[in-house]
Amino acid sequence: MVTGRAAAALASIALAAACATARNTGSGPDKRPEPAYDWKLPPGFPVPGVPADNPMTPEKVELGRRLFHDPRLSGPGTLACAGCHRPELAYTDGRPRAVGVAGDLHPRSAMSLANVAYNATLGWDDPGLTRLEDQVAVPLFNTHPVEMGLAGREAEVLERLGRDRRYARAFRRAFPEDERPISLGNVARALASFERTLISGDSPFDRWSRRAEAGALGADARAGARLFFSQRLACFRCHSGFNLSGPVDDEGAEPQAPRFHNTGLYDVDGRGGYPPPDTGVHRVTGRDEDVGAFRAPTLRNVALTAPYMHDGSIPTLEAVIEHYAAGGRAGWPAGEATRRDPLVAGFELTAEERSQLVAFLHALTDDGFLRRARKRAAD
Amino acid sequence: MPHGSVRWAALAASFVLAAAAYAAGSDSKPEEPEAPPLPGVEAYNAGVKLMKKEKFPDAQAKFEAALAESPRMAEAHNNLGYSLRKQGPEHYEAALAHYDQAIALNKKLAEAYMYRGVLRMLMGHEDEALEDHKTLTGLNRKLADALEAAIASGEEPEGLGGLARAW
Repeated sequence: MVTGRAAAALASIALAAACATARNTGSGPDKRPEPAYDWKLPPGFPVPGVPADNPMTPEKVELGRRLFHDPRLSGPGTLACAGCHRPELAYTDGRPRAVGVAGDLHPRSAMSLANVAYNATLGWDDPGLTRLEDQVAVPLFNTHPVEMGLAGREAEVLERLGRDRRYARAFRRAFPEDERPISLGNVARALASFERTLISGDSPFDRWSRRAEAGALGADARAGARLFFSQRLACFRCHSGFNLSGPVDDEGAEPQAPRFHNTGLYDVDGRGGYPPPDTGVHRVTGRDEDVGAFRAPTLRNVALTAPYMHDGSIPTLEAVIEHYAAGGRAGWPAGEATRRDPLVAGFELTAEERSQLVAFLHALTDDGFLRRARKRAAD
Repeated sequence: MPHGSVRWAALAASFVLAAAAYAAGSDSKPEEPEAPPLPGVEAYNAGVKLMKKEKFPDAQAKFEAALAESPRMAEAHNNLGYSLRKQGPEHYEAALAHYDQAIALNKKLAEAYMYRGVLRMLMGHEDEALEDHKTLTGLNRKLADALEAAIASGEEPEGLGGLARAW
């Protein structure tokens, strides 16, 4: 939930970004163009879109990596971003709902950061949140619930970072044109740059699909892929494209309209209503038709990101499949004006097919990505 | 002034006048002379209309007529491949040959990789279909996603994604 405090912080970061843009657009004779960033993308992956005012550089990525794994970035100095986005769990936390630095229970589950660079919108339910530089301010400054607890302690945290000579040097390297590089705006820029590098695209399914290795999928996983992409189950209608997710954004591509779905997890009013405060996009827009609408996250590494759904209320992949097979565990609303997404229409599945589908979902685990994630955390 | 220079000066003046009228928001845009229709285009467009109506033998005849006039028209080879494939497995080999020709003529014709991939999938050649998908990811991601779903599911993609464009 973005509170007034977080909104103010967002605005200050946006302002800092605007100033940085103005500063960086100078075209004096000494200004050299930034070299293109070497993404090391998997085959068939597009170049992620990057805001013009925060171009990728190895120095920013390295600074962002350090900040992401450092508990000193939180108000009390005890919780890192990586505390809720644990590298070994594909950057989730294994809990139904995230827990903040002061013990506050977040209403929603910590989302995976795998391929977050491509998300057309960020978070579970906010159509207006499209820049990682803005999104990182939410957990940093949120007060309802308190997540990382920076609100009111901004100067203390910046001073804490500045006392570390390695940080002082890293900020200077990442933002060489800034007179005072250790700032909240630059923290957000560095974190966003680092998160954009968390790219996962070398699972067995990728090797089958994008490297044309016909034998990369085992028999059960191959049969599960047949089900996943079938018209009968139509899982791929929402978890689509190279990212097996909702709409993506990348360099040069036409922007895709955000999509959100009411999947029938709850029905408190006979029309597919969800219990407050977690009412989906409705929480942000207040529009009735947005009740229960949440973003379809990437299914990459999904075997590691249990429990599932926006509130972690489904414990296993088998139970998720059960939910969709039933056309939503809450049952189909009786009212005509249902808000349920018609794509969640239910299907029949044998026990064998169910296990094949689970095998396919396990084939979306990218071991190389997890190895790199652990290494990034340990360095 | 030599005769040729007079002509170029007149042409330049008319261009400036036309540009000024256009910039001023006038509707009187300069008239461009109509280019003569390319050989085979008429038959090609007729074939596209028939393909949309799922009249595949008739569409086949039109695409063949287009290719008789323009043998190097990659799009006609591609659509001929589709029209043949939709007439049943006994036409698969002929369809494949036309997709191959379409790609030989235009290595960037994404639709040809897409539908050759679908055909190869239907012929049971998953490894070759995946090769087409691999190429297609660098040409057209939307079609690549559709081909991926087709190969994975073993089901034909819906619609005519990119095939039914008139010239």
